[in-house]
Amino acid sequence: MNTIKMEHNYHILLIDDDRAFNFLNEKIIEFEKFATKISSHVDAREALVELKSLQETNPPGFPDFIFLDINMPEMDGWEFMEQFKLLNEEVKAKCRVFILTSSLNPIDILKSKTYNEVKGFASKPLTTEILNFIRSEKTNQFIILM
Amino acid sequence: MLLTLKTIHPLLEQHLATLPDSFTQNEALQNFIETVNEAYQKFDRDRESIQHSHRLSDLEYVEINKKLNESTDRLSLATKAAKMGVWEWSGVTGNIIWDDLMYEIFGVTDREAFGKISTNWFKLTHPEDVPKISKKLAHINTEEPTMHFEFRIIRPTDNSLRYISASTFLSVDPKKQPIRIVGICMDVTELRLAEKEKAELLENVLKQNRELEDFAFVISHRLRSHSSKLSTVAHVFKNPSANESLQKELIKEVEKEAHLLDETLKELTEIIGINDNKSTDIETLNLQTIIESAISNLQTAIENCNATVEVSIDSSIQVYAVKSYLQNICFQLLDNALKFRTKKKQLVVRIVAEENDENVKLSITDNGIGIDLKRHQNKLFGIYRKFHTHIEGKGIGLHLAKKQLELMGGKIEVQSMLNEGTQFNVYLKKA
Repeated sequence: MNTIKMEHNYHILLIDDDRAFNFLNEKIIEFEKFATKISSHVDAREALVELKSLQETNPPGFPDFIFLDINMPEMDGWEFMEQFKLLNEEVKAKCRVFILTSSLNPIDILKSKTYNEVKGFASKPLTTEILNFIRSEKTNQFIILM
Repeated sequence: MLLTLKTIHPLLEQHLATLPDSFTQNEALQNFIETVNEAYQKFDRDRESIQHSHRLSDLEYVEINKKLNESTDRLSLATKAAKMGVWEWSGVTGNIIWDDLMYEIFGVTDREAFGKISTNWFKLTHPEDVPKISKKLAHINTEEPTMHFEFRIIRPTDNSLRYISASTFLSVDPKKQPIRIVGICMDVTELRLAEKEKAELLENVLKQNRELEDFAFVISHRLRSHSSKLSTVAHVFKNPSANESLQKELIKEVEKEAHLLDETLKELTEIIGINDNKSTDIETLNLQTIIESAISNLQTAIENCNATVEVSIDSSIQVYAVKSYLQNICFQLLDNALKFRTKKKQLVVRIVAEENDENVKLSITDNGIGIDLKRHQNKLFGIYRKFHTHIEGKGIGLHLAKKQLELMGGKIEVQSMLNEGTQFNVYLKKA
């Protein structure tokens, strides 16, 4: 079956403490033409600062997707989600958060389900398959890709 | 006297002697007096025959006595064998009666001085247990005549803490009034201490199990992070859009990751490996010497950050330790103090050693950035746990140090306040 690669105007935010992973994931997303704007942070706290400022000054500029790592020093993925929850509903409505981690721990999967904003759990590496799933995914279904 | 009685009963004689002659010599009353005499005599005869029929023969008496003694001996031997002290408290007199074993269990040597007052044994009871015993004893009633309780005493003979198990039985009279309490006491100290030890052992095993699980989890996660990185690189590499310059960068990434993987495996080997090293290399070491060599190894770093290291360790302090472990522990803690300093203050590290009979306590205190113990307490000594992105390190230093310390029979604890500083206390075995 032929999959037509659709071009999207998505804005994607990558949060991973490993710079290399952010670089690699950016490349993958670029190749898939999944987004027109990709930004990344190695520190979840700085990501929050950016998101809060977008909420105030440029709501349309809020990302459509966030790929979030779990295990990070300073502020981990869960601590980020606790803060993310507190942002405005209107500005969060268009944003889908996906956990992207090397963890295979089922507890992490369960935890990710407890956040309404998290739409899925994916295991690294970020592949074409994952992006295809996300493209076609129904927004009310939680997806697990491992 | 007009009496024609053959024999006059002594009692009657007594009575008649008190009466006037006019009465005793009255003809009409003679019959009456005779009847009374006969009645007294019959009573005497009846009484004698009853006593006679119920009198134990000497033989019977000896036999019964013998059986009674045998029974008492048996009971006595049984309670002695079971080390049960038997006691009795009289509701009437308030006195207590103790057998020999009771005095032994409670460590009372001067029985006279101890006396028979029922509250005296209370004085031997551990003060914390007095309220609960009083409550229990107050609850003894005819509905619940048997009761069982445990309490601790401070045994006077050696001032030791003993665990006593007691059982009581309330005995009542036909009107259901309590008349006495009978009971037994046993010294169950050895049993209780063995139970405590077992519970501690179990807790230790469970704790080690949890640590092991945590360790396995973290290691597998670590390895997975390497493999997922390599998969991601391959995925990007294969993509037709990947040009030559990108590919060159990706190869570098592969090299880097392969190197990190190699290091992870080496660390793994080291950490797992130290469990095999039994305590054969334990020797007597001079603590001051070890600390000074750790300082000299970090001399350049100390000078570079303009830190002051103050050492207060008596040159006589010796410890039992594995040399390479102790060196690593001292190095690690000092290195941490240097790494986690704050730019706002000049770093001061204080290294102090105190000793008591069994242990030596080594304290390393810094005035650095401190640790958020509320958040990180449980993960601090875990493997690959880092809390700061910008400070180099893998997150295994403290883990290794703790493992090595525990293998030497020591332990480590930490106190810290964010932005104030941190103190690590290391407990070592004194030589």
